Amino acid sequence: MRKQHRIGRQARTAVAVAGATLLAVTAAACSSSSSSSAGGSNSNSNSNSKVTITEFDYYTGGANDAINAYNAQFMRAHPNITVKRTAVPYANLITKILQDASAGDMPNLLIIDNPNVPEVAATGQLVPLDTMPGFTTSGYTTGAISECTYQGKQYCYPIGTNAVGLFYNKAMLAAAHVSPPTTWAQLQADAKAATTSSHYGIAFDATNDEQSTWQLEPFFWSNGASLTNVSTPQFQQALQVWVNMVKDGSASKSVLTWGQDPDLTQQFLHSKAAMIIDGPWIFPELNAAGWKYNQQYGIVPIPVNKSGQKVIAPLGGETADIGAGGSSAQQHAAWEWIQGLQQPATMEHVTSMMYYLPSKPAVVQQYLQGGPEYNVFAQETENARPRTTEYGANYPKVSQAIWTAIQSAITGTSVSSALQTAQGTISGISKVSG
Amino acid sequence: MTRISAPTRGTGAAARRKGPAATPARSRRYRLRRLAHWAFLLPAGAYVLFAFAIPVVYNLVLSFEQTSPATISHLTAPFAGWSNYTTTLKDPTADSAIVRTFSFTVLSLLFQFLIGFGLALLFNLRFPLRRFARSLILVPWLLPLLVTGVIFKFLFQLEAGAVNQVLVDLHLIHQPVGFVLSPGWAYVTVLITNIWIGVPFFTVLLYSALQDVPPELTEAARIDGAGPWQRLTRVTLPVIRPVIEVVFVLGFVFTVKVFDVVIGLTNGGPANSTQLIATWAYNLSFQNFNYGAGAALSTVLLLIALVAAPLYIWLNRESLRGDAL
Amino acid sequence: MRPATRRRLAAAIASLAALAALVVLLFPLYAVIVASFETNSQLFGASHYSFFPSQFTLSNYRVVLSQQGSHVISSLIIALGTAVLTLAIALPAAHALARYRFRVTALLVASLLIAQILPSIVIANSLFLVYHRLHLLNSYPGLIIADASYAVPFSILVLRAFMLGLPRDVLAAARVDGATEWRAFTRVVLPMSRSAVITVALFAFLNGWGDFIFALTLLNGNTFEPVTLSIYTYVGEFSQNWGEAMALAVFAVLPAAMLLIAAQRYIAAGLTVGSVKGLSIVIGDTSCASSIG
Repeated sequence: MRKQHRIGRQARTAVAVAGATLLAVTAAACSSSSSSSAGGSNSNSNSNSKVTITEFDYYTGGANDAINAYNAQFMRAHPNITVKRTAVPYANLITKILQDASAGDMPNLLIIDNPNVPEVAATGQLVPLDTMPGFTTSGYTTGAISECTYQGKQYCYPIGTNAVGLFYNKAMLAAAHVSPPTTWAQLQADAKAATTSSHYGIAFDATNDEQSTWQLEPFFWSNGASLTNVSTPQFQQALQVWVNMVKDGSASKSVLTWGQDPDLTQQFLHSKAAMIIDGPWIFPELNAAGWKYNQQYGIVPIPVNKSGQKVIAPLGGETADIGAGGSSAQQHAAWEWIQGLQQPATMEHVTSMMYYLPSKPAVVQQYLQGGPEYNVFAQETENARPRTTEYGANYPKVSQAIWTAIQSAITGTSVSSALQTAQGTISGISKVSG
Repeated sequence: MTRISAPTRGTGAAARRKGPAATPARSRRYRLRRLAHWAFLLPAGAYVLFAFAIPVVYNLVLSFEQTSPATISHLTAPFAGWSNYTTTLKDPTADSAIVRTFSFTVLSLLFQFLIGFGLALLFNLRFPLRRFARSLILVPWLLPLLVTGVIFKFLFQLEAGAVNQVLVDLHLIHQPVGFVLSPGWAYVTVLITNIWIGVPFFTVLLYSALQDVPPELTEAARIDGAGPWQRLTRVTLPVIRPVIEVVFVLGFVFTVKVFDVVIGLTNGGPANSTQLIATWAYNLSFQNFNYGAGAALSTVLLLIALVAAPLYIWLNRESLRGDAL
Repeated sequence: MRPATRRRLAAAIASLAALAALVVLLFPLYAVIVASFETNSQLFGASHYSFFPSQFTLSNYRVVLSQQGSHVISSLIIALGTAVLTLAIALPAAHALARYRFRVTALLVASLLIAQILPSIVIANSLFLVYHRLHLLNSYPGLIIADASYAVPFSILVLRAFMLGLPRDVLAAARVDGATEWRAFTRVVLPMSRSAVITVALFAFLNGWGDFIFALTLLNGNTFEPVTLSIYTYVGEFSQNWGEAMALAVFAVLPAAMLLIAAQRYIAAGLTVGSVKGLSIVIGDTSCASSIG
């Protein structure tokens, strides 16, 4: 998810310190893994000719350190390849990529947020990976593969995955004599009970962008609703839960302007909200503030309407893609780069520095031993659904209709008429299938 | 080079009109001088062509094209007929943005004029702080519009916002208001911000107009027994009317295209309740990458703004003449 | 009440009213400066807004200086570039339109008046695609050309109004002396127009400094960005770091404020020209107001 890289200022110093130690570990661990990758696929690249590949991402903070470390390590293992990295602010990323795509001037390697992959693939400027030597879809979570599928071809590998969960302040819930909610009824009751004069019971993201759709998706997907038909009772019930919590004062109206990070994180850390909906990208900030999992805070899956329903969260995380237009030597070098990230040890280290989950279940098992705070997210990503399955390249338009409905409903329009308006828009959007 | 260049039809004709008295040497010098005159206009001509004429024409062309991210690299895309206009204008968000732009413009101008004129009258009085106050009133002009939007977002916050604090302290409200968090209030907040921005402009121009009202006129009216209100409506307002007209025309032109303030303050939200034509056109072009639809809406904005053009030119009719004194 | 007492009372009331107006108009700036010296927990943790901060910190400025210094420099380059380009285009044109007879003068002036009316979003929408082809996106020249669109028409009109007011015989004398058109322009017209040139340059500078819409549409962030754009992204990404955002806002306002204070008399000069020459200065004045805010 997009806010992954946005690590608050307070956290930055902590990350820098942690980064230094992690780098040493990464270098050691990666060098062993990369030698195996180099050995496996070296036959593909001409051994002596020099190749320069351009790499394009929008990482800052810990993820920035991780990508720099991986690039350095990759170049050590492949002395004939030079990786030139460019980092661009997230807000400009997709515009820049689409510009480059339309000019036929793509970088060799791109890191793209997964809901944008079909949109970029539709320009015809991404290289399908199916044809690359050694490409395999086995060993990955289902969602991680399908988020990279566009019109039957695979265009990427995930860098890592994530999802949203419900973070709660243990002391506040204890003071309100409630336990973490698992159903919507409990969620609303708990949020109300945990609301005091100095803090709200819950905060979530209802901003006018993709983030709010992404946070509501686990609610309506788990309840059996879909993106195609948003005026169903299942969808209305889900949105009604959010509206109720704002109406009864359990959540601030400011949820309309609070992004996931750092806004919600700050609410949580300043003890202004007993619960927040957020994801693993906020761990560095919690760590920097000295908050520890299972001491100050806990995490549970997003509550469902009726107990027994399975949580279906949207799958988050960025993907690594290869741009068309480079020479075949460059494309193969880029493929080497992506392959290197698939080595279990490298995957584990890079994803941990970026606060992602690995996209291979086998690696996740290993990963969780060192980080129990990832448990909920690991469970959710197993069943997580890519956002682009139905609408592919047109997902962003559908999402805009939904977040507009979310904002209308929270600001006083009835849930049913807000969603009817959204349905009117969505019905006119064609499915560019994923 | 210039010496051997063929004479243009215009200068040739001008030279011929000079009749038999014009020797070849004189007419060549004349032509050279004319060329030099035109050369002075060249940079401006090229600039107007590149930065105004081409974009306007190209925007019009785009509005009839079926664009997509894949067509960015081509200057033209498949012809789309009126479909960009029909689909864009059928969209309720665009409709309400157009209506809102109108009401926003009318209300902004009304309050900017009333407050600005009031302050201009105030500064026209004699009092100790006058000069000091008059120079400070310019300060809101210093701020880039986007920065003003961001600052007002900070002031109008729900949690620990300054405006809420003032209103609570004055016992005007009991609970803080979520100013940018509900459609109605968000609109009012953007409106207040825009009025705040425009008041100094109205004040300064109307004040300078008041300065030009001959004191003999008001004095004569006073001697004739006219009260302050009559002196204002019968003498002052008619005298400064030309300035008022210009202020309103320009205020209109600059308010219909408001963009920065909205983006900084509400980003068009919540639920698109503060989208104006310019911000929604931006959204269509640069967030949905539908340049054709964005161009169609931009063209609508252009047409609305151009309504003021004849009036504006008429008000400046004197500057159209007067190419020589 | 004696007339003198009544006058004094009226003056006192007027002073109070002016003071109240100033408080409303200036309070936002006061709040910005105060917030820029406050810690995030003061601003955020507090349950209510405090008009007088309990403690001051410079940490916001330290962060902003270390992270945003390059954006201030970018803004300076853009603003200076806009001023230079505007003068280079507007000065000769204003001179020609004021001094020489063209059959199309009225048409040219009218088209400049219309150019002032064009909404920037219309220009931005097309320029984005044109620039994409010309490889002018993400470049200083591209952005400066676009930013000059605020100032060029207005500058030509104001300079022309000023130049029409210059004594004609001085120029005639220069021509009799055998000076070329260019020499007459640079040696005679320009020095005499000094105050109008400074006025116009100042407004062009402020237009370039305050531009947001062209920076938003014609840059995509991987080369450089001006302060306005960086405040926008900053508030978007760190929306609760108000202390830092407000310190950045101070930087966005400061150079413009200093310039206007230093050059106030040139603005006054420009205004006087305008009042002599009728409405044209009103046009100029308005353009400034609208684009500077």
